[in-house]
Amino acid sequence: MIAYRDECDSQLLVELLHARLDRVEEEQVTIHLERCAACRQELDQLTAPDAWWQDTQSILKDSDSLATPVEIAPSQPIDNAVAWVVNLLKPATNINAIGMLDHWPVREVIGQGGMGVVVKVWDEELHRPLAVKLLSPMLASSGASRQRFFREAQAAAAVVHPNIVPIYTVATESVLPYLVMPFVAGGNLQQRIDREGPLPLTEVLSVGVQIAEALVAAHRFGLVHRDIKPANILLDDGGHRVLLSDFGLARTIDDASLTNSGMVAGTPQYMSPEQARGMSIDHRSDLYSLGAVLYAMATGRPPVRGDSTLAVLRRVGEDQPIPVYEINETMPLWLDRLIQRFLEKKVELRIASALDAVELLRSSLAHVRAPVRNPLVKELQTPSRSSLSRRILAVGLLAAMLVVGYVSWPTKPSTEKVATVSSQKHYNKISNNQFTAKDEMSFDSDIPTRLNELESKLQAIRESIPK
Amino acid sequence: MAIPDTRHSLIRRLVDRADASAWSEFCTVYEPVIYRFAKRFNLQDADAREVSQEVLLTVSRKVESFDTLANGRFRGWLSKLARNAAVDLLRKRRERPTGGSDIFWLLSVVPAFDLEPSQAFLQEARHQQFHWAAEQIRQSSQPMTWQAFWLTAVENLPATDVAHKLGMNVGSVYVARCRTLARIKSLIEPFLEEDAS
Repeated sequence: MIAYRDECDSQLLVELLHARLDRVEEEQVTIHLERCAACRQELDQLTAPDAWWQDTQSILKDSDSLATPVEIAPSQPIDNAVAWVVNLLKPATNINAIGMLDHWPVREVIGQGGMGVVVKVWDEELHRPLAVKLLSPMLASSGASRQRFFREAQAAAAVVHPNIVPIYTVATESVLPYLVMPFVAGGNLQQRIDREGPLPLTEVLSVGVQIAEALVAAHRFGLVHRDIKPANILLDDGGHRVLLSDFGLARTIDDASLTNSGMVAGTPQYMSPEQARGMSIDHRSDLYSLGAVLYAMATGRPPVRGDSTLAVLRRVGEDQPIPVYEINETMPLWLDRLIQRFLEKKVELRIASALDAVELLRSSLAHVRAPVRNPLVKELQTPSRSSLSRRILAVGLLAAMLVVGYVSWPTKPSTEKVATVSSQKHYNKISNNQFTAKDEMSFDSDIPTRLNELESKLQAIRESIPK
Repeated sequence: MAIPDTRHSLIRRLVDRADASAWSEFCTVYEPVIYRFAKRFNLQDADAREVSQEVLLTVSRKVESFDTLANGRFRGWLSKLARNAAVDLLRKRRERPTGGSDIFWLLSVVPAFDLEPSQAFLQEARHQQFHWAAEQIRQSSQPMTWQAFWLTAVENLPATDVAHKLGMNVGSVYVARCRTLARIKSLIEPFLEEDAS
């Protein structure tokens, strides 16, 4: 509503009362209220029946402590993030900025979470965009939250790793404490999944490897991230490097100061059963969450779903997720076995360390890229009835390949040459890690399908072999 | 702060034991209510505290079986629990049985003994709910907003005077006054079982 309004409108009064108007509208209605006694009276009635106004007076009038306003930064609703951020900024000196935060020109609000708001600022000296994470005023007034915020900075700053978002600066003296980080242009993994659905198998594994690598570094410092989820995994511009962010909940394992508060910290869909139950957790809780992220990448949705936080929390320890290939049939059967190593509910049966996770994911990725040269690790293979049948199978397959090779080689020399050149190109691209998304799609997407087909054929052959 | 359109009834939330914030809210408000109610029975400080603990424990044990759909019964139930706990304690403390009816004895030891105690209980509850909710909102209000509310709604000063005093315009004073009471009301409403459906 841009037009100037100076008329009585009950609906607008309701919106005004519930703080649902934008700044301009609110100003207009307030001006009208100034002139219109009838609307002032109506606003009183919309607020509460007369009995409430009478009680307000009779019940509160003798309280001296309530009469004095509190002189601290007031709390603000999180969904008014933009409004409160803008209110805190000094007027902009630059036409592209919405205001100044200390000496940083703020370009836009790019995100908000439980801890506060993330804005994009421009670093004028180095000519690069930066992300600034501001602690929300509600939390800034609480000692525990402030501590947690600074702990995030300390934790993340201590770990230097290409897959962990670095912290450049921590500002403690400003109106609101904030952290300065590089601006990561590719958005986060959650946005990508929402936009594109399940990712191709190679990307599922490659993102998995990178997060596992980041966890190796963090766990070495005794840091448990505690809130690994797609929204906390940032993608750089090309989408190939991923960065783990938001150590907001991370804390050194022996620091139990906040665990006693009984607060449920973390995101239930990606939370380990032990974390959901509020039991003590260690680095293996992060590995469970990593498994849940792998599952979400492969299927487009988290392994556990429920209508409410509470329902999810209850299910985390109980439900068995639907197998990956039942949701996304392009995924091989063994991916489910791989993810199950992470989603193991019993901590002692779960994959033991981030290092083991890197190994497993790396070898699986190598297998997908060159299945013949890099056989699948044993623990992910389909359990077979005897090693003898497997040997017979191998001999048979070898013979079959020789026959195919012998038949095709001399008859089509020209196409074969072309194929060799193009696969050499592919190889180069992969080894330089520069291939485009399009190349990758055509290169990868049919492999899992074909592997799946092969696997089911093998199963059929195996079953036809007598013991 | 935007005012939530509906807040779930506190009693509903109490039934779900996992909702720790509901319990702490409930106890923060009702413990002093029961305590002050018990003091009306001429109980000593320690005894009144025992009564309030006893009642809260009973609520925690029995709230699951309480029919939350029945309107207007929760505070009645609570006041009965409180009265019974207080009377039981009085009986225990009664040194020498004097014979005769309990009622006559009670009337002699409790000056303002009310056969229908829920009225007094409701008053205490309303008082405590208002104080608690106002304190929550005061903690999260801009000083100017709170003063505009307090001076007009509690001290009953004319809005024009308050506007002049605070350097605001009358419209803003009204917005502050009404939003603040609306927020207080939204905190109190979950305590009123009329919303329990």
